[in-house]
Amino acid sequence: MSDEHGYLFWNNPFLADPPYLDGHTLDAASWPGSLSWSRAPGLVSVETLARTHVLQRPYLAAGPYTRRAYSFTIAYQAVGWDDFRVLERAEAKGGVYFWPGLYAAETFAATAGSTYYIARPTPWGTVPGVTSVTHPVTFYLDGVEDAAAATLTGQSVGALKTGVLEVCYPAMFRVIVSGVDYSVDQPNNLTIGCSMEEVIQLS
Amino acid sequence: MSDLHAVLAELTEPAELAAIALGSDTVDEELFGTADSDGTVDAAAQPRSTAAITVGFELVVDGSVVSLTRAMPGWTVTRSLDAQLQTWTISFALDDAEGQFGNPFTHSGPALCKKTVTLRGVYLTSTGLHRIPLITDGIADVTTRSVQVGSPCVEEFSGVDAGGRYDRKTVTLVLKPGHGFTRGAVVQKIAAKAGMLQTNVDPSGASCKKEVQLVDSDWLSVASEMMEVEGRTLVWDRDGLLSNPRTSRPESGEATAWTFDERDFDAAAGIRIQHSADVLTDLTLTTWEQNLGSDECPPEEHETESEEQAIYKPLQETYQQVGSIADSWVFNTVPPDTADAELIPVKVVRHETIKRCGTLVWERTREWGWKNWIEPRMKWDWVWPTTPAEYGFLPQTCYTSDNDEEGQSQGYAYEKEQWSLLGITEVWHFYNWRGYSRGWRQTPAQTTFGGTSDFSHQAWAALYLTSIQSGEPGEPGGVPRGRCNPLGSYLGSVTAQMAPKFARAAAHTPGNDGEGGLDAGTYWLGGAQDCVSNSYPYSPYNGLWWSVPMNTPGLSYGGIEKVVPVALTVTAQIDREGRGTVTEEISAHYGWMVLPGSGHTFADGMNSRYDTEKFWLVGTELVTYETTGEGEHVRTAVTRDQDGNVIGTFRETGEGAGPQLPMLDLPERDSSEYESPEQEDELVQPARRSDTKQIKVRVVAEGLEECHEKSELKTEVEWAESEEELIAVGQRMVEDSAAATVNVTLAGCNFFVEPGQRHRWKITVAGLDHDVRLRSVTWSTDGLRITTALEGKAYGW
Repeated sequence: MSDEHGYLFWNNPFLADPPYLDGHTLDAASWPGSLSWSRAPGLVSVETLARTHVLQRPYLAAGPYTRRAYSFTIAYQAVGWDDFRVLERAEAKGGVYFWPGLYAAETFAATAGSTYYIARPTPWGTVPGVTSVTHPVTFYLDGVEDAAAATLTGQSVGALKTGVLEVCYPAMFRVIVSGVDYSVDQPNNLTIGCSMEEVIQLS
Repeated sequence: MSDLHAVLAELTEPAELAAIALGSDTVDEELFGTADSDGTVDAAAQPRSTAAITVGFELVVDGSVVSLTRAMPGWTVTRSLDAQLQTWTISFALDDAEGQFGNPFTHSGPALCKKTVTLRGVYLTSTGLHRIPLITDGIADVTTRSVQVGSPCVEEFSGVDAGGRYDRKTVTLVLKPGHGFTRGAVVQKIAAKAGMLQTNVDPSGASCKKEVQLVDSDWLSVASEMMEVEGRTLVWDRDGLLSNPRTSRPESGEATAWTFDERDFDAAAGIRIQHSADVLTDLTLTTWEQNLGSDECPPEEHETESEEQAIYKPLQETYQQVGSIADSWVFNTVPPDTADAELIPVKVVRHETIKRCGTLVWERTREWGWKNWIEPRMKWDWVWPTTPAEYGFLPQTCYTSDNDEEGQSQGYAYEKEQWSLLGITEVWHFYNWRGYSRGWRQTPAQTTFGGTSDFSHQAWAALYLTSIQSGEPGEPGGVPRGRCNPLGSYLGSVTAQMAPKFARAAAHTPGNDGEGGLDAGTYWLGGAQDCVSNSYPYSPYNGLWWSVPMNTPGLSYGGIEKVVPVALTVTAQIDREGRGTVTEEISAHYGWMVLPGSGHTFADGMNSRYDTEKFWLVGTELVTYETTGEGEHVRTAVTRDQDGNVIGTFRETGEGAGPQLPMLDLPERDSSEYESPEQEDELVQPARRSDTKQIKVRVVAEGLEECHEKSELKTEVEWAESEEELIAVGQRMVEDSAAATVNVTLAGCNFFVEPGQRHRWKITVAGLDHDVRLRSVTWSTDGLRITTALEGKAYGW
């Protein structure tokens, strides 16, 4: 994803759009603000008395190798009433969809003919202007891109081939708003900081 | 607020982690392979490469896989040799009153009710999904709902393994002494009675002789104690079947299931190796051993004799009266005995018993002493050679202390006292037992056990039972028809007493004496006629006749005093209610008596239809024991004469339910627990319940006492069968007390370790490089990782 000069380039429109939260796309004028995200590793490394390590990950049945929730922090300048209201509403509702323009990559031990489940839905049809064409899913089988390796319907991945299947897809996150900061450092400049925790649910 | 909090509970990180760690809501049983084990699984169980292992739990309730998307951290499965039942705990987010499985208020307990709960460990490897059972067919016992501000709302279910469905059952199983089954086989039978027709109990081991008697009893404690003797315990294995894994020091031929070293142990969790100074060094163990016997119950004769000595000289008579067939009196002076009195035996009492298989069936007490036997000085008889016949008193040969034909001194048979048998008391005991009659094994149709002579049985049968099998009991004595005590219980006894007796004879028999004198030859003793014929008529309606053995020492025949039967008592004890206690006791007493009638008159004026006394029914006694509702009984004794007239009644109150009815203790078989007659013949060894001996062993660990204070323990090991087993138990107890307790946590997740396995653990820096008996394992998850914590015993001594 980067060239020899250290600049990122993308096969897909990664972080190319203003964030979408619970039916509201932040005004482009207020974006870019700042966005950061993180998650704990899905793999546990256990050190032994021999100072070696054992790696363990939880079995997720038809899920990917690892599945951990993200934490998001976002800050932006409110330029409209909706930029303020959306946070208040999202916090009150509990679980809302957040589309920051990210892709998720999940890996499965796939067997042809089996069905697996990615952790998040796609924003296709939910976020305006985001479709499977503008933001496509990409399959890799054993490290090699293979569009015929699987199909994706909703969160269901239909494996067509057997191997280590990577599903790289635009991920819409179901989040709860866990914290909001407001500040006005100069007249008519409302800055909003918001932290959100992902809630993984399978449809 | 609480609703909102309930929602939040599932959304906090622990809840989400649990959902991740514990699986998905879309488990498809057909999706993955279900191979139990292959190379990839072994590698997953003991990971030593950089490849990550994928592990999880799976929950199956009543055969259906449960979605774990609402599962919370805190899942635990513990298997331990120190717990009878293996335990598990699972938690789910509590979203509403119905929770994951239902509202406990609806069910007055865990909503899982009696559903089967199966917990499996899961490995996902390149060869597919591998499910390893940890708990099978378990059952929930507690549910706990926790709602607290700031914490997730959680419902926790805890439970036990399949044993929870059986551990409180009571069973009835009786295996006779000498049954011959191994302990494992016994436990299998007990388990079957509790409803477990299939087990994984190892039936191997030594043959057992001790009786097993469980009657509506708790079975698990007994079966566990049996297994302890073998160095095993009883638990339900991961397949839900009762099993008996080893608990003690690994044996030399035992396979090592797992070898773990530093590469396998979690460094962060650390290890703990604990040795205790409190080590057993001196054990005294006791038990009893079942002796073996014989099916035939041969007579066991026992005899004791006491002798009393005194300075004594047998008394001597002065004259010999010479007998004559005419009325002529001649006396000879007996030369005096000039010998001095000396220390000689004056009384000997000999007590003899015969037991069969420990049961007293006959006893006799005989007494000897110095005695001169009475002889009549005159006999009323025909005087020779007077013609026509004339009767008169004729002198009889005897010894006496006067030489006067009108003398009043007693006549004796000998010039001085003879060493003589003076009395006999003889008792025969009878029990109801199949295959016996008259004290010997007979055809199965015969049913009385006891006694040692034909006579006793004839007397017994006369009063009591003429045919038990036909259900037609005898009449006399009042024994009810159709009743017989339970098999193996006491029926009653015949008691006979013999003593010197000079029978009474009628003094007058009209038409025979001419002038009111005595009958010819009437100085015969009652019953003496039958000495000659040696026959034993026994009809109770006609009286009992008894002979005197012809070879009885000190006895002669013909007109003198003899040791003859003087009393006979036949007693029957009846257990009317089948409770093992006497409800009725019927006794018939026989003795010599002048039977009323006409035709003969005795000297005291009694008229009789016979010319001599007869050995006849004197009277009966009926004793009844009637229980009251106050833990007491009323004893009522009614005495009747030979004609059935009541001559006395006595009532008294006693504690309890009346006397216990003695029971036979014979080798007994019960074929019902054997697969075939051949198996029964192969295993069973005759043994009687009471034929046991106490055994005790002492095990001293001198090597340990060099470093440890002496520590003694005295205890009983109920199910040990021999000294060898006691010693083995003692050695194991010492070894276990001296073993180190080692606690480790595996870095990986091993679902195959099982308490009872032999392991080899090595942690060089801690000095551990030993065989280990795994005692317990706990699998638990914090929502992300599954931890395998082990505890084992390392045996260094």
